[in-house]
Amino acid sequence: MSEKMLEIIDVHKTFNPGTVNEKTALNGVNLTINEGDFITVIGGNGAGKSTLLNAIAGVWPIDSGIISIDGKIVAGLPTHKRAPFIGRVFQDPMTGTAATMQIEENMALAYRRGKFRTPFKVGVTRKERELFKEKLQILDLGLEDRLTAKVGLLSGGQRQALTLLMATLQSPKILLLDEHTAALDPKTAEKVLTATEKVVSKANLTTLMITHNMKDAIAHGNRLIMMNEGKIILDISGEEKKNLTVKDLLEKFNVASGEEFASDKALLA
Amino acid sequence: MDITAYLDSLKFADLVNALPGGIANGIIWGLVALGVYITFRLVDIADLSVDGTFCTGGAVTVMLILNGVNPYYAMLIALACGLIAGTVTGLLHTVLGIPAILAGILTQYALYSINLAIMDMKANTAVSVSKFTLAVSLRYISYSIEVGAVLVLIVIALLYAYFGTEQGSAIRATGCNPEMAKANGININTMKIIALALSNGIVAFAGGVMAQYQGFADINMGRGAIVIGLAAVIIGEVIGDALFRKHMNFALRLFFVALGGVIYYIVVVIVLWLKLDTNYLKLLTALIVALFLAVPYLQKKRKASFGKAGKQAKKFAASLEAEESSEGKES
Repeated sequence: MSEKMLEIIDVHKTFNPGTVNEKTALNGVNLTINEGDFITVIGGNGAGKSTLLNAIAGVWPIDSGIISIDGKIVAGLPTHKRAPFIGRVFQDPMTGTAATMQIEENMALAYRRGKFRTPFKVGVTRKERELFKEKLQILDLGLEDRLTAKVGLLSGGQRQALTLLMATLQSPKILLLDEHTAALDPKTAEKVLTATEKVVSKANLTTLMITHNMKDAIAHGNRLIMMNEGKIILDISGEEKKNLTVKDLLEKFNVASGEEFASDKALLA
Repeated sequence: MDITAYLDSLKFADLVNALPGGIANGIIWGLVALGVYITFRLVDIADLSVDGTFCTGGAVTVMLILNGVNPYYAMLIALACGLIAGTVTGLLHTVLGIPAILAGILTQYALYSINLAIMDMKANTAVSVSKFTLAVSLRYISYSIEVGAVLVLIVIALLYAYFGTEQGSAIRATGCNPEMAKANGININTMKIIALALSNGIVAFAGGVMAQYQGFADINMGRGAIVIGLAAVIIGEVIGDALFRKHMNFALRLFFVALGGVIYYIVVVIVLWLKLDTNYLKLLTALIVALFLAVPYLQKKRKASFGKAGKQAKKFAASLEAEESSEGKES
């Protein structure tokens, strides 16, 4: 079971090198994720959480290091070529779906991730439509009756839930959730998180979830990592993770980073 | 000029006589509009290469027909040439990172030389309907309208089918949300190139039809094709949306885009009938396009503008003041 699904070795990334805006976003990140791990990622603003996920997704090339998914080095592949292995849900609900296209069209696009798209096959087949209906029922948002509705008509929460479903239609080797509930109101965020838990556990997906909410970070997943200044400074799993409290986390942060946290807000915001 | 003499000189019969020619012309521009729609609406690129490819299509078609090729084969070869030209624009844009609008201008500029070369370095090459079999000709207007209408319907049907396929959906997703497209494994550069190629292929095909209709290919025949194409797209969409509102599906939208070309040309016929100086036609077209492009922006602004917010705030402040002073009186 515990097979390596994602391996990150000494990854560095500096934005705008050689300018006044130079920023070292990843400063030697090492991380090994086993198959079936559900990891929550926390850290203050600018700690490198999103940068780490973007590095895995291939939004831009990394400066140095190795990123491999399921034994295959992907560091040299652009986003669309890594997409077959990766499911993504973004912070902005607008990013994950095509607003002017129908729900079923969006899902069909996601369903064909990693396959060659020919001009000889219809965009949505009847069989797929049935499958999509079934999948949408899991969300319990009534979307299964609105297959041909334009996604632009949906609320932010509905769009995030749909994106989540789309990201997992073709079982990804790794699921990247970049604060996917941060832009939602607390009630909707809770719903989307519940849906996330359901989808992830059902398919036993290997997952990396960034969150700003320490309670969520503790409550979800089997492993927790904390980032600071482009490095992973804490990695807690197993029993230790289960018994974790927010207070413990803050203390651990102070010890690990060697600095006093000026305000809990920086971590919690 | 005496106004009554001017009005007397306008014969309604002249207008009626001129209409069929206008409609035939309009149908051909409807084809151009379909091409322009692909880039302008589906992948959000205003592609100026069409000014060049319209002429390329005309030049290729005329030269081939003069060499004894069947006019329909000639038009298909013109279409292939348009595909290539569009691909060049796409490569300039995606591989070399040149902004889309500049990439289009470069292709269009380069095509001027190429179009001249195709026509043996002559600016104008005639193809006479009395010597060659042509698909359309202004000597047989009603027949030309029929052929043109069939061609438009075929192109609409093909486009409707294509954009419903996996690949067509991927192109639409690329235009709508490139980030989402990439995350779902779509190579957005490839999709943009395909869209540009397809668009220019259709425009070159239309150029081939136009050259036969007017009986010659001219180095300047494509000048302003993008503007007329845009005008047709916009006019067609406005009318279609007004008539069908939310029931407007993709096939209907394509139909109205093509119809936009016909309506544009009927307006041109009326302008000519009114004996307005045709030199001002381009100015008029530009004004129409600018106006219609501005409408959605202005409508949005009207709903939420700083001017409106300022007025509202002043009114609110005044009412607060009035309340205060009345309260002061009471106490």
